[in-house]
Amino acid sequence: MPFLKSPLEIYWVLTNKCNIDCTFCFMDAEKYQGEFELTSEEREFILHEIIDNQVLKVILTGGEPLLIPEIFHYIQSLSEKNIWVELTTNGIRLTRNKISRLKGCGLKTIQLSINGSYASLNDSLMGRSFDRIVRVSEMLLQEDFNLHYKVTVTRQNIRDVPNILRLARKIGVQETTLDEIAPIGRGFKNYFYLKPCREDLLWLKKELQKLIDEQIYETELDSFTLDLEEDGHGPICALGDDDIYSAQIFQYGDLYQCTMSSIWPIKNSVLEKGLAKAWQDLKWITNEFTKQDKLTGFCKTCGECGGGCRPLAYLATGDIWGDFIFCDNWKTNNSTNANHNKLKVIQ
Amino acid sequence: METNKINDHITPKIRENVLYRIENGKAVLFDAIEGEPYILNETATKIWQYLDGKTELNKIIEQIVCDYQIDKKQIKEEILQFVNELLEKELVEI
Repeated sequence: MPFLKSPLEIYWVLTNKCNIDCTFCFMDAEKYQGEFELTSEEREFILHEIIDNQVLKVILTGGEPLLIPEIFHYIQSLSEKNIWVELTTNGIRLTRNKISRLKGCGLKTIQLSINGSYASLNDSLMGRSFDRIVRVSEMLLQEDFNLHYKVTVTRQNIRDVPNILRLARKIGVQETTLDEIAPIGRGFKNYFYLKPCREDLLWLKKELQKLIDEQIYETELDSFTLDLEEDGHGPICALGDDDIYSAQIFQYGDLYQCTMSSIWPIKNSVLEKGLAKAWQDLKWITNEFTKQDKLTGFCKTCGECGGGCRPLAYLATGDIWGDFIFCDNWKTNNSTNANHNKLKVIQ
Repeated sequence: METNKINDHITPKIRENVLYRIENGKAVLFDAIEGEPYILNETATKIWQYLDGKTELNKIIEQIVCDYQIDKKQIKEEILQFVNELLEKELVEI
């Protein structure tokens, strides 16, 4: 595929503010809105950039996007231009009235976060939300929304995942995505505490196959750990490729290729450059930062995967060209204790 | 490829979840549910733009023959195969 003039799909992080406090949040969302988040006028500029550049699909996300007062205006404006809009939310602020309003604005698909099949487990991971999620799910289905669930798989809930899927089937949820916790945001700070063990991940894969065989629910596990084991590398493959069609606009207005790459100390502002220029520069930036000849340390000598995920290497070591310490090859060549000692959270 | 699912009287329609834009004369399609992009060549783009759910395939074939001044028998088979492929990928419906 030739490099496109603009992304086909954009994840738009409207805010990092959130009304719950998930232990694994990859955005490290906070209770209060950050000082440098965009104003309404600035977000309006981005909205028009998305429309003018013929983006085809927009996923409105956060933080909690329903905390942004203009959310209905954004959905309506995008839908009126035949842009496919989806909303990810924790569902806490959804009422019957708001659900009807979202429907009226043209929204068709909502993704809710759920992390346990019963209240005490779910609420221990993401605050008191379980009863609300179930109630809101029923209301959304009554309004004919496409309803998706998203589960972040951690050590705490992994054995409950099959029950979450049974609950999803019982409620009538069309799709459930299962993502293993990623070492980013609060997920990075709590990674070694929340990371599921390999045996549990393999158990879950078998259980998922049973659910498929019994025609109860069909879904796949997106596992950072098992991908590393099977492929020798993490979620890095697309950086800088011509085939890229998706990008993310973050709460400060910067455009990046993925959540991981947002941690690099590089400005790529849609407000300053416009969407098309920021998109073109994204390719240059990602190419520049995936040059293998700049690698240092173990990744330079290993050569198996070309250096792993550079943003994660940076997050863990403070060096963009440093070691990708989440890889099994690295672990084999370093002691288990060194793994912990080398971690350094970038402030 | 089998084309027995379709005939030239059908009126194919682009599915609601399949979005597109034209870039350098080529249609860039995006299946919003599957998250899958496709790029069509210029002739396929022309056909794609006729798939409005009202126009019969035989009219589209005649239009393409007229636009490109090519042999109808040959292009008809190719268009049927193309539309069949779109149906199999669930990009269009009839």
